Amino acid sequence: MVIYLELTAEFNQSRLRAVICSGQAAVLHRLAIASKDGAWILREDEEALDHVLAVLGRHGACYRFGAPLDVRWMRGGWSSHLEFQSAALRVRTDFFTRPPRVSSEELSQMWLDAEGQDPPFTGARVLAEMKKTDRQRDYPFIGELARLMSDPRDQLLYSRSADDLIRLAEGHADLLRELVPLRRVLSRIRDGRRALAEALQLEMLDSMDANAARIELFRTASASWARAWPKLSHEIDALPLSQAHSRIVTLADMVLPKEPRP
Amino acid sequence: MTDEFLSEEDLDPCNLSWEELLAWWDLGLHQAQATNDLDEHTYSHGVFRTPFHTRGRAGSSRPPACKGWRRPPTNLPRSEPAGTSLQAALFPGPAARYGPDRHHPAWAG
Repeated sequence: MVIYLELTAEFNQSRLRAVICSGQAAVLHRLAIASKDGAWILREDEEALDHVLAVLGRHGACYRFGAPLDVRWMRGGWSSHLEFQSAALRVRTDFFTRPPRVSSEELSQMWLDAEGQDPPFTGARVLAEMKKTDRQRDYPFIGELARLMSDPRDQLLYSRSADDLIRLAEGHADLLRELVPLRRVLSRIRDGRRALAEALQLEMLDSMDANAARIELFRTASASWARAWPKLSHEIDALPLSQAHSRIVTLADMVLPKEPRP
Repeated sequence: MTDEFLSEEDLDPCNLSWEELLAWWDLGLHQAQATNDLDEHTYSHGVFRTPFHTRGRAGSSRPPACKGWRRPPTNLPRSEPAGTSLQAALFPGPAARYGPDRHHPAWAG
């Protein structure tokens, strides 16, 4: 059994608390086996986060530099990062409750869709939004995810292929007109394949810049936390995870803002 | 121009049974351990993009210790000497435990 599926089953014992996302969700969509770290979207409540921490504690996990796995910071869009060694594997576990660029409505629907799914993992749309990072290597996955989407509306909103968009436009002219305000690049379909392909590249660069700006906000907000971390990490080095977590929360309450502010 | 985002090998998982997918997935995770030295301080997900210090900068802080990991020459906590995992990947021992004898999906990580 794959360690990330084992962990997901433990996280979701008796209740759905964790949905696999990012690289491991891409595997479950039958795209490339392309990531070695695990990431989950968690329910934003104390019981869920405490349960996940307890599971990780049993695995001997420790915190990496990041926000505490606590509702107060998760609510602000922070991410939490822990890792442990499992036989020959370095297992990294990354968590958030508010994935970037996913609306609250989309998130609610995700939780509904994940009920009863085994293993539960993000659908193509949520995963595509999460892949709009500042890393160019994530964008090919958006292109392939769009080809998995069955709704032409979703394909028009997410496709990274000039050919696919031209073909979709021919069959869905009314839908295209409706969606142009939501995705500017669609207005370039009429300019031909080369112009559209260039516009798609520029759209990717805009997305990368937008995510880089978002990350910079969190980096600035965590500057004091970064200065405090080395000493803190030595303090908690030998502690069980539950005690390390308490210590981290106590210090973070003083040093790490619950929400980054511009 | 062709709009191929991922190679045929990358997309091969769609041709696998569930059991085959699990086997290749687990094998891929094990093989990827070879790059642990290189990505020790990176983040694949979330809002923390860089470690809180830069390797080699004078007076920089050390990264967080992890229980059970020994400190390597570069003063970073590790569980085995530097390069061991890479050496094992380049000079593997017994044959892979999993998967049929077929081309492995390309490692796109």
